[in-house]
Amino acid sequence: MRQVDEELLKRFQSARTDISALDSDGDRDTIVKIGAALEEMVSDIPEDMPELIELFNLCLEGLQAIYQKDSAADFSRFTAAAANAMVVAQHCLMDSPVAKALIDEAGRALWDALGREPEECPYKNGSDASHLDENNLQKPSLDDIAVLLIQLEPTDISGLARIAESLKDIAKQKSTVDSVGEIVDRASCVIDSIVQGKASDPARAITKAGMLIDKAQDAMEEPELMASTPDEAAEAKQIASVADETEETEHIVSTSDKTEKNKAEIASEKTLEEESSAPSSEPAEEIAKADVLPADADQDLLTDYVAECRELIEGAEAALLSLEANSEDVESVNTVFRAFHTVKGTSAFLGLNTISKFAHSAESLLSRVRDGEICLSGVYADLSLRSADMLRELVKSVEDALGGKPMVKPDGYDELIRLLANPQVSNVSAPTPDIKAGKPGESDEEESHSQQQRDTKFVEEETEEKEMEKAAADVEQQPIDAEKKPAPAAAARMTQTQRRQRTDTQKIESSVRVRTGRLDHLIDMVGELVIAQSMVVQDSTVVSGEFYDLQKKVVHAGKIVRDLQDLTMSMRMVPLKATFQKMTRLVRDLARKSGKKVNLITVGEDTEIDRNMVDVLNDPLVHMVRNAVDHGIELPEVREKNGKPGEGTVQLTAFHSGGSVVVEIKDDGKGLNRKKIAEKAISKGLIESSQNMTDNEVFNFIFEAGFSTAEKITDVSGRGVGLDVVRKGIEALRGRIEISSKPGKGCTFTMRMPLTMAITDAMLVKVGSERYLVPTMSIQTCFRPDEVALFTIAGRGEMVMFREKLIPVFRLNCLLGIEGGIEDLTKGLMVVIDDANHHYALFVDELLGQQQVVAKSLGDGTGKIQGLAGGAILGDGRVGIILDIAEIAVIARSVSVIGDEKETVLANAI
Amino acid sequence: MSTEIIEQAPGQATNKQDSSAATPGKSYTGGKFLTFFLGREEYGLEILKVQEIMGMLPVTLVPRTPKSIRGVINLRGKIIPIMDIRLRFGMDSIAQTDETCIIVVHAQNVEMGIIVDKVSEVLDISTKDIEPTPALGVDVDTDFILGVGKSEGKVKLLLDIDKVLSSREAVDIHAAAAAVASQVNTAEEIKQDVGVAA
Repeated sequence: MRQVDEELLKRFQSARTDISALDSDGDRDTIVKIGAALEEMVSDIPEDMPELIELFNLCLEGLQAIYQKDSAADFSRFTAAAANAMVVAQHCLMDSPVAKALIDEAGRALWDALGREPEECPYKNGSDASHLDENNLQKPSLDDIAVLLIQLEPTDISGLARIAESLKDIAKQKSTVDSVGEIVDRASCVIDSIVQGKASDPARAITKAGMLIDKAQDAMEEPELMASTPDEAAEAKQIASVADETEETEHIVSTSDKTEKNKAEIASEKTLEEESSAPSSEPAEEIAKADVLPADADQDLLTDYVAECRELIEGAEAALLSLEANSEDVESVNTVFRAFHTVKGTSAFLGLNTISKFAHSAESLLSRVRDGEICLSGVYADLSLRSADMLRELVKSVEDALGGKPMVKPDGYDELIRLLANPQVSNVSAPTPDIKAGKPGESDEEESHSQQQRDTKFVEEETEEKEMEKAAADVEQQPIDAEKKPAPAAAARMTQTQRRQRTDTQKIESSVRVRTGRLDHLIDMVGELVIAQSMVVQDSTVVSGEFYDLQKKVVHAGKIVRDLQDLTMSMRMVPLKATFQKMTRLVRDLARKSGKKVNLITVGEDTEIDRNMVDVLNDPLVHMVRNAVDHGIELPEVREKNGKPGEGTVQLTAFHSGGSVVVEIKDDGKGLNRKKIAEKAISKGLIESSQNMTDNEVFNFIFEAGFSTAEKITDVSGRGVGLDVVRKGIEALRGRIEISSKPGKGCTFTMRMPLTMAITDAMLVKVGSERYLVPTMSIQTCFRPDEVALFTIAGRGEMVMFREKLIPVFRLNCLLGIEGGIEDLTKGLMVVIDDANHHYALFVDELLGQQQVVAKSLGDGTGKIQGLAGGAILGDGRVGIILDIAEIAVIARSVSVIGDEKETVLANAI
Repeated sequence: MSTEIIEQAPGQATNKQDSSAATPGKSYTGGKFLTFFLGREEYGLEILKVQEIMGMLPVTLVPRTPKSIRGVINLRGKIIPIMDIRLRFGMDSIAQTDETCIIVVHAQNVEMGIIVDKVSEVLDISTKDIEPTPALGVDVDTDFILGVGKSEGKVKLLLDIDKVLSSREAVDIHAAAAAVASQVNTAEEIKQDVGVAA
């Protein structure tokens, strides 16, 4: 008996007690707990017992039905049946001879208890129920044949003959599409050749047949995509006839390569899909099922699930990265493993089969890392990270589905599952710049040989593991000793220490998840409280000084309100850590892709920034980091030639400075090339000569759209889009960006942004009886013009001379249709607006002062109104309107154009 | 106040039925209605769409909006637009009195205040007491009247508030924006014409 079984048996026993103890009105928590326990057991059940796994899945479904108080399910009968199922499971593990019959019986009992149609029950009476039994193959589907084929020994002639028969049957069936039939026919020919002893290498022929069947399966799902190439047909014939092996070594290599993939798929299908033990169901059905949320899904549960998964995946990613740097870090392995495991468990419980299936595959890979079988580096690290990405996408699709969109399987889902089951394949496809070009064919061949010698599932094969180990080491150019595996005893010790560590870390921080909508509301309300409080303070009764005690109390309340405001504002703030972490990942991937060695240092990760800004900041940062790695850092050889260390450094720094957040990206690469940028700017007609320009002015050209000095466009960057995005992003955050660069020494980008987007610094201006807020960021200055500084063009277009420059004057009262207000330009004030694209003077009556306001929407009922950016509650509790200075300019232009032209037309007409 | 009203109101199911019934077919079901006056006419508003009632507050004018949008107010930290329902119905605006009220309604995910002359009462009108809106010819727009309810010999005009709030106003705002755009275009065309002529 295997060692795991001891523990499993105990767990079955305890699950049984739990289930028996369930109350009919039992609390849902217990049900969930049992569900999770069962879920875990399913993953631990040896894979060669698909029937048992199926039984457990049925138990889980039952639990779910009970959880949702499904009326069809009979509670007491279910608990009895489920408890019985646990006993059966124990029997199975002890290799009891009656196990199969028992499973069927237990399955039937469960089925009945759930109130389902007896006709649909997959569990049949009597001994003929073992559906994988070859004798029972009445009308097997292609899938069954595929499964059977890999179980067969090449020497089992009678078995092969039966398969060939069934294949021919399928080919003849009317429902079979022509193209599929053709492939199936070919496969049966191949097998026939083995049966008749014509094939020189039966093992190879079998793999070939397997491949053909696999193709047929694909073709059945998507017949239109299927067009068999004559090449393949020829190949098949070759194998079917007496093929000479030495003649086409290359062919074999490629064939066996594909075959591996194919086998891996079958293997994963077998272990993962419930379908493998339910012969009648179609694979297409499974896919259709996976693409929708379970109909009875609990919205709240799913929402929580999405949030939880996000967190887990993020944690897993961080752990993976640290694991790559230090492969001995057992705690990280466990973090990753736990994360994937939890995702799997909860997904399965919620009926999200696509996700649980995927998480399972990823988990299997990681479990091998955990057990010290393989080392997480190179291909494996890539694979694990890609799995994390895929999980994130899957979770996102669930979220989308919650929002009413259809749930789609992300691209590459199936491929990744296949790779996870057989990581070796990824060796070929993964970008591995370091691999020596000359030899890959050879090693592939070696593998294909070993492949042929094996006839069962290769996933657990020892030899292959070693090869993979070797391949992974190759990639990283740092040989990892195969004997380095931790001894079992040591591993056990490690696990113990981790467990202790885990409990330690859990104590450090506890947090409550709050919905952002609630948080925003709280902040709104506190803002209101501040205003209400200031009204009380200014009340004449309080101000009069007659009631000293009242005044004291009001002041005290004021202090508390201010503290409260500070506290709530800090609630929106989150550290930049998560954002920086993503960059770590990015740098790692980029460096691998471009064959450079880059070390990312992050400083000031704890710097806090408004939650809403974090997402906006992400895009610019990605582009900058990409730039730094792709353009800034040189190749290791070049760097060494220039006397720099081969490994480049990119430093991300964040800190607070004078009410704003500064984020710096510094690389020690080649720096910006002033001459090249200037040349490019001249050739694009942006400037005529760069002689009188400062370095900074020249460097700023790189932010222009379509401005790239890269000679060649890589898949990473070079199209000249990136930095344009950066500037737009930073401007959207009301921030600024600066560059400093030293040729050969490196380049630094400095981004400066306000702490929060929520608070706008604005100038309150008065026009007629109305007040408006103008963002201070875009105000250059204010002045009262002299008569002599005013000019008109053609009697209408008004201009003002300001610092030797003529700028247009827009009267705010005309633009917004406000009655009243000062008409005489010398009596009012000019507010000079100056941002990147607009330069004009806004004419207002007077300035009322500067104010920090919380920008809000003007309510859903109004939609977007041109010229207005939103509203804000002013100190007196009334609403102030914030102007959109860019749109004001647009309005002004359209109005004045209309005015001018109409008059011109009229004049002409007259 | 608002919570109280909502608790009295019939179940959610009826409400759903109501709102779905408010579509072209113009069928209606009875229930509780908040009634208010515009001049001498009494209107009814489905109670479940009413969030709260309050006295007049200082309204900030919002430029470049249709006339019927009076402006915005600060409703405990939230900015909501205010519609002068008299102007919306093409009636004359009247001066504010002590009885002038803002009813904050919540319909189709839009929160909006409507200014009414006087709030009257909460009435139970059963389905049998509701009659379809009589056709009054082209001149009178009865699109936003769901039906006519009768109670104690008086007539209450039951408002289809979704229609009052959303479609037309949204159209108006978009129309305004489109008008500006087309003006610009015409201006450019005129410019071209002028250029050709010159």
